[in-house]
Order: sequence, then C-alpha cells, then structure tokens
Amino acid sequence: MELTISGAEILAILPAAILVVTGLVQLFADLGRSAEDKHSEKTHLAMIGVTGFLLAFAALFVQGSGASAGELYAGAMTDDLFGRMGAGVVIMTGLFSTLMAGSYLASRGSNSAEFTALISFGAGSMALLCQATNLISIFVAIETLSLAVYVMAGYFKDERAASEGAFKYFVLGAFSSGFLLLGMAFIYGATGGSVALTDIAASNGQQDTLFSVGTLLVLIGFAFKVGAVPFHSWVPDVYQGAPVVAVGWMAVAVKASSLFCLCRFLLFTGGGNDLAQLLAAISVVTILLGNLAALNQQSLKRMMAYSGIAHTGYLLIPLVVALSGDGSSSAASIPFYMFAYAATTLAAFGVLAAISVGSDRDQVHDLDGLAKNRPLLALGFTVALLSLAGIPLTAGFIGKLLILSNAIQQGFLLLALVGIIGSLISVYYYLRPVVSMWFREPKSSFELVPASWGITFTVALCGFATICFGLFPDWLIDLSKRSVEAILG
Amino acid sequence: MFSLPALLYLSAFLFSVGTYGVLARRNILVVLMSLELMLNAVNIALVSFGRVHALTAFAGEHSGQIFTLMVLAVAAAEAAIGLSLLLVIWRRWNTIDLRQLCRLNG
Repeated sequence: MELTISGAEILAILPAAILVVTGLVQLFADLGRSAEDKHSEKTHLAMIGVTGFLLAFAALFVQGSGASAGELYAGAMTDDLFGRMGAGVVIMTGLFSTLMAGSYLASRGSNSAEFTALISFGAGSMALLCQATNLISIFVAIETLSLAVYVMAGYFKDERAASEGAFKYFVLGAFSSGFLLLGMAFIYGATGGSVALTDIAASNGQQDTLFSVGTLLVLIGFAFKVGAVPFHSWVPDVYQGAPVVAVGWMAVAVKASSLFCLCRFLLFTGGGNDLAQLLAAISVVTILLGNLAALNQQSLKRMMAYSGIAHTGYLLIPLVVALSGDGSSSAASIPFYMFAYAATTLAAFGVLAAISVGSDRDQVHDLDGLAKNRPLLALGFTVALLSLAGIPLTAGFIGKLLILSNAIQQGFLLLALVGIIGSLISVYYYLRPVVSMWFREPKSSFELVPASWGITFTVALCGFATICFGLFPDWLIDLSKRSVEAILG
Repeated sequence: MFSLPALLYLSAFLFSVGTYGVLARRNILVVLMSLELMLNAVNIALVSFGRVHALTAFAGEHSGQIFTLMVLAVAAAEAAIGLSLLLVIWRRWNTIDLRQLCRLNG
C-alpha cells in the first residue's frame, strides 16, 4: 500500500483545512486577553474569521475547475460539485455567523474567541461531512460537528436555559449517535466488510435484513441531527437557551450538511420502498407538527425552531421521491432549497440578534413598531418571513415550488398536498411578526441599541440574496441539477 | 475463540444496557457512562465483523478495526464535552439530577 497524497486530495481537503487553521488562529489571537475584555467587540476575530471563510470559499472554486476527482483518500472522501455546494452553504453561513457574533456576544458580556473558533472548527467538519463517502469519515465528521455545536448551545453557561438545553441536546445527540453507529456496524457486517459507499452500493448484501435494519438506524441518527419528528424534541429547548447567533448557525449549517450527507448516503444505498414509505410518513408528520406547534409560540426563537422542523419536513420530500425510483433528478431541489433556506434564515436570525443586542428580547410583541425605528431591519425580517412562508418573488417560493412540483410529477400527490397545507398554515404565524413590525405602535420603553455593522450587513445582504434567488433562480437550479448528477456519475 | 453470533449477542446486550441506562436513570453521571457503554458495545460488533471479514472475503482489509479506533477517539472527545457540561451544571446548581434540570417545556 502506498502512502502518497495526490494533488487532488490536497485540493479536496483544502477548504476544511483552511477553516480549522482559521479557528486555531482565532484562538491564538485572543490568548491572554480573554479574561478582561469580554464586553469588547473584538473586531480582529471577525476579520480573521472572514478572511478564513473567504479563502475557504475561494478554495471551492479552485477545486471547481474539473469534474469529480473520483475517490480520494482510499475512498474516504470525494470532491464533486455536490460536496462543494454543501461546503459552500456551510462556509457562507459560517461567514455571516462570524460577522454577527462579535457585537451580540459583547452585549451579553461573554465575547471570547472560543465562539468564533467553534464556528470555524464546526464549519471545517461540516465541509468534510458534505464530501465524506465512507462510513468512517461520515461518522467522524458528524460527531466532530456535533461536539462543536453542543458547546455553542451551552455557551451562556450562567443561564439555566442554556445549560439545560445544551445538556438535553448532548444526551439525545450522543444517544442518536449510538444508533447511527450501530446502524453503520450493521451495514458493515451485512455488506461483507465494506465501508465505502460505492462498495456498499455494489455489494450483494442489500437484501439482507441486517442491511435494512442498519439503514433504518442510520436514518434515525440523521433524523435527529436534522430535527425531524419524532426526534425533534431537543430543537425548541436548544434554540431557546442558545445564543441567537449560534442558533442561526445551527439551524442552517447542521441541517444543510446533514441533509447533503443523508442525500448522498441514500442515493448510494438505495433502501427500497419500505424505507421510502417510512421517510414519507416522517416527512408528513414533521411538516404538520412543525407548522401546528409554531402557531401558538410567542417566543420568536421557539417559533423559528418549529418552523425549522417544518422545513426539515419539506426537505425530506425530495428524498422520498428519489428513493422511490426516480433516482437523482428530484434530489436536485435539495441544494437549491438549502441555499435559499440559508439566505432566508440568516437574515431572520440577524434581525433576532439585532433586537436582542443589549437585552434578551425574543417575544413577538417586542417587534412592535420596529419599522418606524429601524426600517432596514424590519424590511429584512419581512423578506425573510415571506420567503419562509413561500410567498412568490422570494427564494423560499422557488424552493418549495421545485420540491412540490417534482413530487406531483412523480405521482406523490399526498405528500405535495401536505406540503401545501403546511405552507398555508405557516403563513399565519409568519405574518404575525410582520403585522407587529409594520402596523403596531412602538411601546414607550422601546429602546434599540444600534446594531453593529456586521449584523446590519448580514441582514441586508441575506435579504437581498433571498430576493435575488427568487427572481433569478435559473443558474442556481442548473448548478443544483448538475451537482446531483455528479454524485453517482 | 468466540463465534460471531456470540460476540454479536454480547454487543447487543451491552447496547441494550446502555440504552436502558440513558432512558431510565436520572443521575447525569450514570447517563454519561451509559452513553459510553452504547458506543463501546458497537465497537465489539465492529471488531467482530472485522475479524470475520478479514478471515474470509477481504484478506488484509481491516476497516472494522480502524473504525473502532476512530470511535474510541470520538467517544473520548464526547466524554470530555459531557463531563464539562456536567461540571457547569454542578457548579451552578449543585445538582446532577436530571429531574431537577428538566424545567423547559414545549
């Protein structure tokens, strides 16, 4: 066995490597000064972070020149367009989260380099997860990103809700990792000792009961990571206790990287009709429960948590369609939807971060009259909420349209119907904050600490991107289609 | 030497014990130990599968053993995070009882 590393292998791991180094540099840059100035904004950390994320993003394009480089690191990872798109979502999300982190954490008196460094480390492992092609690398990547996120969830360690949410998240997360790992062991056993996804797809152990049980257990592990019913109970508690910026980061990046990986996994292993039906059931329940539970939430964070659960449900629809025989073409809506969801959600959490700078506001009525005080933030939040609800001219609309029209074309009318009903329900709770912002008088005590340029910039740019993806979706749809074709080919 | 089914039964037994511990026990420390037990139960399954496959179809192929080494490293990191969360909770609220911790609802 030869132990050389080819140029393609170095290029494949370059974004993740840059991100990990960025995290280390952030930690070192903050050495010796973290104790005193936890109230300062520490712009240098954001600068290091932004530089690192931009470099990593550029590295994606360096890779992007050729077609898929095939199996790298003895089949542990690959370097195809699909993986790069996943890494792209993660890197952009990390960039904006880093931009927002400084002023928000400083206002809470707990700004230290660990937070931004954890974003960078987490982003590195998420980029690897999007490119991972064997069971070992998938497991290691998913665990590394989870560990980073557990710590971020409990970042405000003096607050009960934070520690409680983080611990709940940790126990349930580790519990589900146990099942994920057991499933991988079963697949490994059933396929006669293959860990690479291509070997698993080629092996003749697919009819084995052990293999089916293994796939099911892996699915449970992933369902937990993306917050699908019945493994969603941690989501609202964690969202409520964690720093707003960390919630935005988790909501997008963890979901995106896990879904990219799950999509790759399912396209390789197949799994058959039974699994597709199970996934369809999960999807239906997730959409309905997420939307119905969001109706009554007064806390914006909890509302976003249930809305995130509902969006997970929509994202499972293309996987069901892909599993039922249509193959890769329906999965093409996943990368597009993730980009749209990332832009939309980051804009929304930017506004949530802006209103909780200075004080921890997250109730719907805290938004009363926001449009009069801060029209830009109100506009950004409105665009984000309309996009989440799937109103035309926004990215969210195109994403939902792709998913639902594909489901209808392939004959999954019930799934599409549930998706539409879910969207209709969601309009109610997404419009409540909008009404609050534009049509209510501000309370007399309403004082808003000026948001930092980082937060304002994020809201503006992500809101703009939401509209852009909605008006000019063609190039991104085309890219998504090509990326999914690249998985198997 | 043990046969593959015997080793798998052992693994399944340990995994069940771990699952029971996570679900039923209320002491955080015991929950953390049960989580480790679950991961290590899978490790037994992985090395037993790995040994069988190395003897038969894929001579010289040791993915199962390598997988186990990776899982050990991950489990150690996980234990570190779990114990530090435990310390935070203990220092702040002087309890390691999950019942007293569960006050969020929704």
